[in-house]
Amino acid sequence: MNRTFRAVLLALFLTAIGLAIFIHKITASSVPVFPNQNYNSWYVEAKLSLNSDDLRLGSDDAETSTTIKFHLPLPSQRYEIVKEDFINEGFDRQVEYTKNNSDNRFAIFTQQETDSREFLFYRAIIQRKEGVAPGSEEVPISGRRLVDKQLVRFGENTERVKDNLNENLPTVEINALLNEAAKKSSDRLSLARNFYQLAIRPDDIRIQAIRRNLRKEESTVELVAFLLNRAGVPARVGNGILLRSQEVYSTDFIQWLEVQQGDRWLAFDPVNLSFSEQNRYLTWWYGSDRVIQAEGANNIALEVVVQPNTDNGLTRAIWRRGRVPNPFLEYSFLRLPLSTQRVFQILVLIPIGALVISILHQMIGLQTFGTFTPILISLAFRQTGIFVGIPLFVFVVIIGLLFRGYLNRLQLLIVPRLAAILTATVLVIGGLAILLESLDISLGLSVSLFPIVILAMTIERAAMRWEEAGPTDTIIAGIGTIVAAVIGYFCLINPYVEHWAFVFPELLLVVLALNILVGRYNGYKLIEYFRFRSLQRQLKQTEG
Amino acid sequence: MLTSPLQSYGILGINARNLDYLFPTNPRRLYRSADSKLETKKIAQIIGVPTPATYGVISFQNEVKQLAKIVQQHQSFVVKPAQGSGGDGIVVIKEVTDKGYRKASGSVLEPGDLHYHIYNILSGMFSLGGQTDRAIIEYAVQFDPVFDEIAYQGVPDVRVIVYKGVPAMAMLRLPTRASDGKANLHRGGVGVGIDLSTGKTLAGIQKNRYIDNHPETGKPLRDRQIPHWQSIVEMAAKLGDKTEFGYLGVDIVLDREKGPLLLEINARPGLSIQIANREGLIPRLEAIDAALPKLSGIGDKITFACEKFAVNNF
Repeated sequence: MNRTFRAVLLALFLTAIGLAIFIHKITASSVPVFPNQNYNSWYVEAKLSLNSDDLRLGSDDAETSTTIKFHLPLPSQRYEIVKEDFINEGFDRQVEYTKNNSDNRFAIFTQQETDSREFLFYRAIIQRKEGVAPGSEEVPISGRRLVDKQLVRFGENTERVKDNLNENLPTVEINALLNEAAKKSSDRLSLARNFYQLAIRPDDIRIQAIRRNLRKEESTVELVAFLLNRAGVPARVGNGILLRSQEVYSTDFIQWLEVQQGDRWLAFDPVNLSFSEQNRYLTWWYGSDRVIQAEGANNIALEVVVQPNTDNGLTRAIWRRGRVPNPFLEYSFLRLPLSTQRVFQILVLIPIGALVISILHQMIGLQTFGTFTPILISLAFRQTGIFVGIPLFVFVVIIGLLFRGYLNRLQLLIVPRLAAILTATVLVIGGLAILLESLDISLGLSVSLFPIVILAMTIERAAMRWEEAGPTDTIIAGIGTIVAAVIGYFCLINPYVEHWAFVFPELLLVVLALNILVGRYNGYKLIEYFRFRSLQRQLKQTEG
Repeated sequence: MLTSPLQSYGILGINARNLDYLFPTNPRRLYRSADSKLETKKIAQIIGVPTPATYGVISFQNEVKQLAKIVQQHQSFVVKPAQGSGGDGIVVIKEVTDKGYRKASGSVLEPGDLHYHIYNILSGMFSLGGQTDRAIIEYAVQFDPVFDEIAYQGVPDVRVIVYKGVPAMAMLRLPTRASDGKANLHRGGVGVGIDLSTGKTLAGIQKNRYIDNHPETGKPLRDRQIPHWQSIVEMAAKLGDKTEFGYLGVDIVLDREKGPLLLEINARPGLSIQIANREGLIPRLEAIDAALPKLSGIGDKITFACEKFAVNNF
């Protein structure tokens, strides 16, 4: 009793602290209690990873220092850049502008110390301007193949392209195309449309020749802009990213064509062949050069992360340093870089899954493989989806157990045998992924290594169980594991749970308190009502 | 507050067993001595409780080949993992022949097969948590013929729950075909309740259901007198009283010549014993708690248990 009393006291104390911080946070600041479904602002984070080996080699003769020119997003009628932030330790930074027919912005990073950090970060908060309708942010599936993407390539020899432009221009082919398109066109816009339709023909020899010559193999938009310029029509290439309602890791740059009409630039929509002001993408820069140009480093990886803002400007407030009076907001997960936040978004869900497991174990009496393996399986289901996840799980576990049965006949020692089972599991899953991929069925297995490792671990647990308790128990525990994983899965994918756990990590103190209470639960498990059913009937008989 | 029907009958659930009885009365550090049969034997020797004689212990892989030497003086023997649970990994050899080792079931194990089994024991296949283990080679119990009618190929034993040195409930555990010769209840073995005061059997259960006859032999389970009952109760009380375990399951086998022998002690005894005895444990445990200050010595405790927990409705 005494212990239970103390446990309840501790639980109440923890709950009080957790709830106090929680209530303080929602009353003293504008932290939204519920996840925000209407996004009108996004966080954009660009991470440049520099290959340090190449840096060192280059810096042997002290003359060459690394210089990186990185385009920055541009404000438009549609989006404004609320706040920008750089992390460029060991590099000098300058923001410069170009003034030709487009107002590009770019940051120039110059390396200061040879042993500087290998990462450069740029992050910004982008907000859709007030009064602008959400608009057509997503491209319909039917039109996706028409959307050009700019590949992130560096170290391209732009000089050679310029030489080609001046000397080896395929003039015959260009003029033939200009004539063909001009015949059918009445104005600038229809000329652009006709050029585009010519340019997407894959088998036109003239197009192939020009693309090869100008090194514009990948981009139809760049080719059309070039042709329009040759015809004397002001046209430019826009580059940008799509701001979606879901978070996107490593988004692509998308290219589009703009043609000047009067004093306005109109964007060409390749899907329905119409012109309008560009209202789909966040414009990053204009022109056909690459997003990064570098000297002294030839191996740079770029990742652009886009995340819709769910916290109504809380992050913005935090980033404006010094203006956050509240220490609970000052030190929160939202302060971390987006790629780190992502890790914590999953991490804070694990205690919730663990609470579900402890309730299922102590109050229901569900048997599972390993104690916390089901949560890991739930997390794996988050990536594969439940309809793929369950059959995959069952299939792979059965294969693993069959293999185990065979190895048993060879009389292998236990640890090497488990190692062999794990190896076989990885092979089976790998084979399955390749097979399904070749059949054009995507399992989402490519997402990460994580589900594979978890499945392999589960097989080990199942095999151990089979040794220790026999087949019936293994099947019961297997079903229990799936049930627990599915229950855990539905808790973990709930947007409210995700939001509360991440934005209000103090609520995990309440989870902790609940765990302590469950830890002192001395009532019956649900399965015990079935276990003692016949005894209860007997006792009732003798009584009555 | 809502009381469940189980609670009103005083049935002990697993959470209550752990929180209210095991954790407060069984110090954590003692579990090792219950989990390891070698430790248990040591304790039993100190307090004077008989156990099957140990012929030898194999601790390392290179000792496995000495098996023949260890057993050369003996016709029959048992190989068991020191830290096994629920009768897993136990092999009973009835006879050593030229071809190999003949098991209780009649099948013959070649020396290589038995060696492989011992390797598996050493690598921890049967131990709790899979740690490396030792193999015990010991005297094979010659079962008292009194159980011949109601045991199927294996080791019948008597389980006594001892709470603070007072025997609280007892049950006879019988192997069946379903339990593969093991007396383990969750494997399908039969449990038969025992009247603590007389040592006479009560109702039988299999898989939590009541049965009157043994499923294989068809012989009635009820009203059989367990021989040496008084010494069984004494052994159990002694183990409960002389060790630090507050809540303990004691497993005892009956040998034809040597009488009752301690097989193992269990620091987390199961709860099905309540079904076999048609009674919840909680009222008995509470009665023990209430009477404990007045009881001095093992004799008092046994007398209390026999009087208080006698079944007199027959």
